[in-house]
Amino acid sequence: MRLDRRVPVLMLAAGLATLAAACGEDAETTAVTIVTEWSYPDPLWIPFLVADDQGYYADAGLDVTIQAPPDNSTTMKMLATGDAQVGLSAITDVVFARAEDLPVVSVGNMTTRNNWGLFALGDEPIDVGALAGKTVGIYDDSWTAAMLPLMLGSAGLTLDDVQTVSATASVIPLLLEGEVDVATEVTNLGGVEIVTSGGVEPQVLLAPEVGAPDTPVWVYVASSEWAADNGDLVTAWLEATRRGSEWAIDHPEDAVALFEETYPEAATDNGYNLAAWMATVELLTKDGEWFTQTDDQWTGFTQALVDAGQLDEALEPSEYYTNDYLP
Amino acid sequence: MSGWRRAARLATPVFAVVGVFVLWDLTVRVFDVKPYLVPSPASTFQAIADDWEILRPYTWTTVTETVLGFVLGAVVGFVLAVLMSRWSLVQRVVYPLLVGSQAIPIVAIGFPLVILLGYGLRPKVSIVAFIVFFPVVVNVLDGLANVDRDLLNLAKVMSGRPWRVFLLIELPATVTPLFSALKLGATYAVTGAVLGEWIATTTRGLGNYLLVQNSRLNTDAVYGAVLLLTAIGVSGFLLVLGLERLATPWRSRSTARRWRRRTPPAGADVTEPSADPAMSATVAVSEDGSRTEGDRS
Amino acid sequence: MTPAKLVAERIIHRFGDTLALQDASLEIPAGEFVSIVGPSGSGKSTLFNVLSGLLEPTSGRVLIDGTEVTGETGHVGYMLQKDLLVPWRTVVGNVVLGAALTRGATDRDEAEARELAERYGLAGFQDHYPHALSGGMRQRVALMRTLAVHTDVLLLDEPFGALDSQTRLEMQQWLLEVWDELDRTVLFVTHDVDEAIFLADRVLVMSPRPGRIAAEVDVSIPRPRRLEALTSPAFTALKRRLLDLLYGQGAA
Repeated sequence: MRLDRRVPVLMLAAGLATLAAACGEDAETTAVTIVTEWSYPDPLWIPFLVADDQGYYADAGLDVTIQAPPDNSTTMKMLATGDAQVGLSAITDVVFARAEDLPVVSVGNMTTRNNWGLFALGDEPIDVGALAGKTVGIYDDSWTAAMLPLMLGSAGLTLDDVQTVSATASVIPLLLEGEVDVATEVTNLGGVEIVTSGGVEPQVLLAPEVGAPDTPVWVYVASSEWAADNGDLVTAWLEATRRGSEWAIDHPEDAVALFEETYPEAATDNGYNLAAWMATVELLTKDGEWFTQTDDQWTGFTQALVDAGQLDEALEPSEYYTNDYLP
Repeated sequence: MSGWRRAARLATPVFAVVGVFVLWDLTVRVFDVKPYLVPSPASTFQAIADDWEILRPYTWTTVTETVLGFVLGAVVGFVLAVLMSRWSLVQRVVYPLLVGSQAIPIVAIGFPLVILLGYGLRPKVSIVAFIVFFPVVVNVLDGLANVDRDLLNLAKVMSGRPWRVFLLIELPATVTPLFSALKLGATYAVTGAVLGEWIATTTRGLGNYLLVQNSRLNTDAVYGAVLLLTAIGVSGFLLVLGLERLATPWRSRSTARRWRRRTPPAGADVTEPSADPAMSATVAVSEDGSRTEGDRS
Repeated sequence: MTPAKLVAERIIHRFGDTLALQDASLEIPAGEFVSIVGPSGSGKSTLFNVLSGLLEPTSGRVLIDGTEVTGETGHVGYMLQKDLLVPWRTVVGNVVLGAALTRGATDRDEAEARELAERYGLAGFQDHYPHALSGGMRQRVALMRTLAVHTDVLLLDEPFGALDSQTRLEMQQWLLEVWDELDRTVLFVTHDVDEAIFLADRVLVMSPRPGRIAAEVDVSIPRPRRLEALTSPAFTALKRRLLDLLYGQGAA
């Protein structure tokens, strides 16, 4: 019958058309996975979300997926295995990854200074020397493991002189409950949480105040092999991400709303995410400049780690970073 | 069993384990697996050796948490089961609560436990006990419920005192199911200890070492910690297995061990006749040790 | 006149709506061996449970040596088809179970048990666990356990039912020897008419539910009984009579 013969032909035509359309799309965009620095969503991810939502990545020819690592130590490994091409990580992750010869590279600073340190409640300013015998709430990540001994060392103390309480969830509840005397955190996340959850301003002692290097905490990273083959895509990605940051700076409430919509589990009703984003904004640029890294920032940091016995050897800065892909 | 066959039986699991290591090594070589993803067995052992000074106290901490929690869980589980079997009211109230408690993910109860019990040994021990006690309760309760009714009736006919009946008939019936539960518990207990360490701790164990090394991408050290944790689990299991052998001789032997017999065999040194259970004829042993078969007449 | 060893006086027992025993009565003089036969469901086990004191009957009395013991345990020895040996106790451990469960087994109890085992065909197996013994040996241990409790009356509920016919024959002869030596009063339930006649001085026939003692047959075959008795004319006549009572015209 006539109908019988026409249906398969129509279906074939439809199939071919779809295939053509799909191939056509592929020729224009590249699929890229962005791996974040932490397994749980935080406001540092906002630039990625905004850039995706506003179409900046699409404009740059990138079809992005934002992927949280399964745990806080896998970011570098995912770049090395090709499960992700670009991402965000703590600077210490890059240092330790390069020590193991992972093919990763830092392509730009995300934040521009060291805003990590000790936080406490009460009226007394924090004195490192007085921490002997106290309880310190820490995380088991590479940054804390490297930087806390540096801070303690400034007053001649070692990790053995304090009681560390390591928690994988947030340390702030422990501080607010009085379960720990001080907590190690960053100003734009934990510091904000103390205010929004606890309703008090904390005492803060930042690491650079006691002589630790003023290095950025977070950097944008990429798989060095993928970057070598796709340099312009890295640049395009950094540029689009910056556009996303700028939009989020101009529309903070909308940006935070997008974040809480995308990750409802991270939404709070006490304004934490908005406050944390605003605190992060201050860290994104140095003298109006985005991303640019320096040799000093890397040598100073790696040498401090070596001196504190946290690192075996400091490699050449070029082993860790490049500014070649900056927009 | 002959010495050779015995040796062969013991050697088989050892060979199996060695085989796993060989396979691991081959896989890493053949597939050229990056060392930061999966280290070779050699580098794993090397990592353990390098860090042994730190690992020894960490391992000791984790072992302590595991063992204490295991014993606590076993004792609590056993006592609960006995109480529940004795008083059905207790069972009807407590049992559903116990079942429900196991449905709560350990991670969820871990943090409140830490707030309650602090950062030292106690929350870890509690988490391990939590994991161990439930199979013990279930199995011991089943064991008590499955004691032969007719045997209990017989005990009644013999005017058996209730607590003697409990001690000699009901309790021993729980031993086999108890050890089944303990074998499970011994293997899983160390996971509970590690979980407890991850939640919050001041006393650092293998779990914390694992996390720190993981954050530094020292994958061979991570695998080293995993190997040690596995060893703890396996050792626990084997220990319980050994205890089971000691506690239930009737499952692996035909006769009681000499030290279990209250009175030595009567008469001169009696040679044991061939213990062929298929033989239903009586075998009389006369004083000079010679044997005569046949019906008694 | 001395009272009969075991007396059951008009035992009536109901389980809910079911009448299991109706006016079951019997009188057993000391030292007698009595078999009970009857169709399934005639309440033989219920009767035994009442006689042993496990069950308190709806009405009726049980007396031993003239004293009422209705609903009281500890006055009779009891043995089932299942040997009910405790797997984690050795042969000796099982034999002394009665003592162990009441006052605690003493060294003397153990020595007696060893001797019992030695005498009755389990020499060399005293320290074996039950799983290492054959079915016949296990039933022997069960009987020894029953004997060790030193009650005068023994209730045996189809103790050889699970054994093969050859072993059963051996056990029957063995039981007769033991009974002869120890002079107890035995009530023996069985399905096997041959067994009932071979062992007993008297055979009681129970009626189907509701159970009562419907008929009684004296077995006047002389003791000690040998295997030849099984095929003697007297035996066959008794057998015919009992089969008739159980299944034929005379069935109650």
